[in-house]
Amino acid sequence: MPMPTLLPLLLIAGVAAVLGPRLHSQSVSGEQSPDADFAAPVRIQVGGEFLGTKRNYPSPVFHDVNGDGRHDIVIGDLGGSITVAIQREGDAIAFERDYPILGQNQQPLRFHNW
Amino acid sequence: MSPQFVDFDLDGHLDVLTATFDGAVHLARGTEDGFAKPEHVLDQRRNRIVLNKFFTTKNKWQTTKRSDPRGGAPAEGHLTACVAMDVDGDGDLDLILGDHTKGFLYVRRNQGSARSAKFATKNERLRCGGKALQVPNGVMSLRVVDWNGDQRSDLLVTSTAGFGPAPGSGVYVCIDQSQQGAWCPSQPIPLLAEYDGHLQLGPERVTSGLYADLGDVDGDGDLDLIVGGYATWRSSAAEVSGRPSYALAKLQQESLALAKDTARSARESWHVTREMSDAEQLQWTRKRFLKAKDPMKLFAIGAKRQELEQRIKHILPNEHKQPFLWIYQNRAVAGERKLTKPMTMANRTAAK
Repeated sequence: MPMPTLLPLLLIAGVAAVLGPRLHSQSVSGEQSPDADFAAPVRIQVGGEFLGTKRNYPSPVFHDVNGDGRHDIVIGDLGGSITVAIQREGDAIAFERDYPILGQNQQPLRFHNW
Repeated sequence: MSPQFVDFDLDGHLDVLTATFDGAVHLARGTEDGFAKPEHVLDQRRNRIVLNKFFTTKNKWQTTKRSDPRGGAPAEGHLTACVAMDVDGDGDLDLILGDHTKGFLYVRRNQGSARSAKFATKNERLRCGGKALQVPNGVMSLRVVDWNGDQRSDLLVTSTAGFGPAPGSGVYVCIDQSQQGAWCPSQPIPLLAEYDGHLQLGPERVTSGLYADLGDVDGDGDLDLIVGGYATWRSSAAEVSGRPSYALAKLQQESLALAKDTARSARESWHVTREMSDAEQLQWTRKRFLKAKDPMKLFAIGAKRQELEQRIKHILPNEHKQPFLWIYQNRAVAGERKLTKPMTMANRTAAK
C-alpha cells in the first residue's frame, strides 16, 4: 500500500486517540433514561467472587426470604435451578454466598427446562 | 427463567411461578413443608399454557396454534416469560405472557376464582386503548412493580436481541395509565437505555440476556434496579487503526470469501445428503472428494482459513463474555417513589 493512502488513516487514528476517552464517557452517561436517575451499575460480589458468573442466564428477583425486612436476591437460571443470596445486616449493600432453595424433599428446587 | 413469588392459589403460602425455555408455565406450590415439585400450569382443557413453540420430552420441539388469539397470532411465538397479576380487576390472578421471539405480550385470563384458577384456552394480545403492546426485540423477563408509586401495578420488562453482544437489549417499564378500573399499561418506556452495540473495555453493563427486578435494596425509600445477564467486553484499550486496521479488513475479507465457499459447499452437501443414512453420507462424501477436480483445494481452503483466523485474532483485542448481576442504585430523592414492594395479588388484596 503506498504511503499517501495511509496518511488519512493515521490522521483518523490520531484524532480518535484524542477523542476516544471523551466519547467513551458520553456512552456511559447516556445509558440512563431521563426518568430514572440510576447510579453507574455495580457488579455484586460475595467473598471476592462475582455473583451469577457460574450460572447460565442468571435471572435475579428481590424477595425477603428470611423475613428480616431486607431484600434478598433469588436467582433463577436457564437450567431451572433457583438459589438465594441473603442480604447482610448493616448499611452497605452486601450479600451472603447464594445457596439452593430446597423443596419438600429437602432436595434443591428445580424447574424443568425441557 | 424468571421466578415470581406469589400466592397463586390464595392458600396463605407463597408459590413460585415461572416460565422456562420449554415454552410453558410452571408452578412450585408452597406448602407447610416447603415447595412441592414444580408442575405445569394448565388451561381448562388440561393443556399447557403456551404461545406456539414448546418442548416435550416425548415429541421434542412442537408448534401449535391452539392458543392463538382470535384472528391469529401476529407471529409464531415462544413463551419464556410469565407473571401473574389481576389484569381485569375481577379478584383473581391472570397470566401475562412474554414472547421471546418477537416481543409480543399476551394475557391468559383466569375464568375461575382466586382459589381455583381456570385459565382460558386462548391467548389475548395485551392492549391498552386499542393498542397492542410490543417490546423491542424478544421478551426475557416480566415483573409486576409500582414504578411511579400510585399504588397501581406497572410492568417491568426486559428484552434481548440475541445471544452475543446484542444491540437493542434493554429494560422497560409499562406504566398503568388508568386512574381506576381496567388495567391499562403504556407502551414500553426505556428505564435503562438499550445497549448500543459499543464494545466496552470492561464488563461495565449487561449486553445481552437481560433479566431484571426493582426493589429498595438500600432502604432509602426508592426503587433500585437489579439486572442479570451477559456482558461482552474487550480486554485491550488499543483501538485497531492505521496499518493494522487495513490489514484486518483485508484478512476479514479473505476469510469471509473462503467462508462463503465453504458454506456453499456445505449447503449443497446438505441438500443431497439429508435423506441418507450416516453410512451413505460417508460414502457420498468420499466419492465427492475423490471426484473433485482438485481435492487438495478443500484442504487448502481449511488451512488458509485457520491461518487467517489466527492472524485476525492476533490483531483484534480479545473479547470476553460472562454473566454477572449488577445493582443500579436509584439516586432519586427519597420519597418521590416510595413504594418499594413488588405488587402481587397477595399484597394487592391486603391493601384493599
